[in-house]
Amino acid sequence: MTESDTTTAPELRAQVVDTMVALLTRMLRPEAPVTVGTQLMDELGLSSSLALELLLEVEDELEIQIDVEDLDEDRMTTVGDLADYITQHSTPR
Amino acid sequence: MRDTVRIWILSARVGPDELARYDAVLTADERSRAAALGPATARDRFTVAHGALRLLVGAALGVAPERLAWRRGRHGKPTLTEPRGGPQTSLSYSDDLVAVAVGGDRPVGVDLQHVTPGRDPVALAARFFAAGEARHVASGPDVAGRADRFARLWARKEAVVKAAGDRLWPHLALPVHRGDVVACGDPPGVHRVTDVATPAGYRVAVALAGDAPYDTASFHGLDGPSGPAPRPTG
Repeated sequence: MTESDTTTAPELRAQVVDTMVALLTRMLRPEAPVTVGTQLMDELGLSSSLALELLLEVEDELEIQIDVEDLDEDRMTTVGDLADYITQHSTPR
Repeated sequence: MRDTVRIWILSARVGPDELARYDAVLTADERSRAAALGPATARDRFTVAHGALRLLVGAALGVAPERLAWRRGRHGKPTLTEPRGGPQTSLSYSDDLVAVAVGGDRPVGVDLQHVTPGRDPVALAARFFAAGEARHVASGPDVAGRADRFARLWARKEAVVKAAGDRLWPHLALPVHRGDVVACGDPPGVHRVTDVATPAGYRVAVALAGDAPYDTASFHGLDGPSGPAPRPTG
């Protein structure tokens, strides 16, 4: 059994949030700290191509595969919203 | 007669006077959206993009730019509602440039992508694009060539999705490399996508609903094809 198999949803969500905060801080170097409530497009100005890079890096970092079929801008308003989506739509690699 | 789409490619880095003139035609809602953006470059880019859209469409219709109104559809596709019967429009920005497309009756989507030459996109394409397009990206001559191929495909996919008013994420594998006529949307409809000549380091694509060929006319700066340029007046 891999580590991912035993990860609970709240644990995975916390890992996703931590990873996204670190990645967004490195990618965008925002003036204000990135938090779970930070708005990805409306505050950080995250583009779709950077969002794609973010998803790939989260996948690699956490060794998961994210199903993007149901992803929508409405589900990625904040860091926490996207973390919720990823938690609900990912499988261990 | 063939349709024509006009595409303006504008610098998002403008001086304070020009920025103030773009800002002057924004609505209160647009101004607060600009203000919410953290990075100053993102704020200015938003102001230029939305200000330019208003100035260009206002000039085309003879309507005061600040009186124009758009309604956002299910997946965010904007439709001009004030005045009704105006042209279809689309907007895109990336890094230091803004693209504004003004069409006719056919739904339009424009997308502009900054090519990031230092970042190899092979893994991104392998993960999210269809196998043939991933191979096309991977077989670019060097990192810059691969980044350029990736940006071109990405701009074409986004342009089609925007014209279709659909969501981007289920369409990452949309085939756009070989053919210009692409099915997308709900219900699915065909769209014709075209590469637009762009300053070095960027890729721009435009798409119109329907498979009928059309002409593109692109402009750098606010100068239009006829009449006085709709420069912001202050």
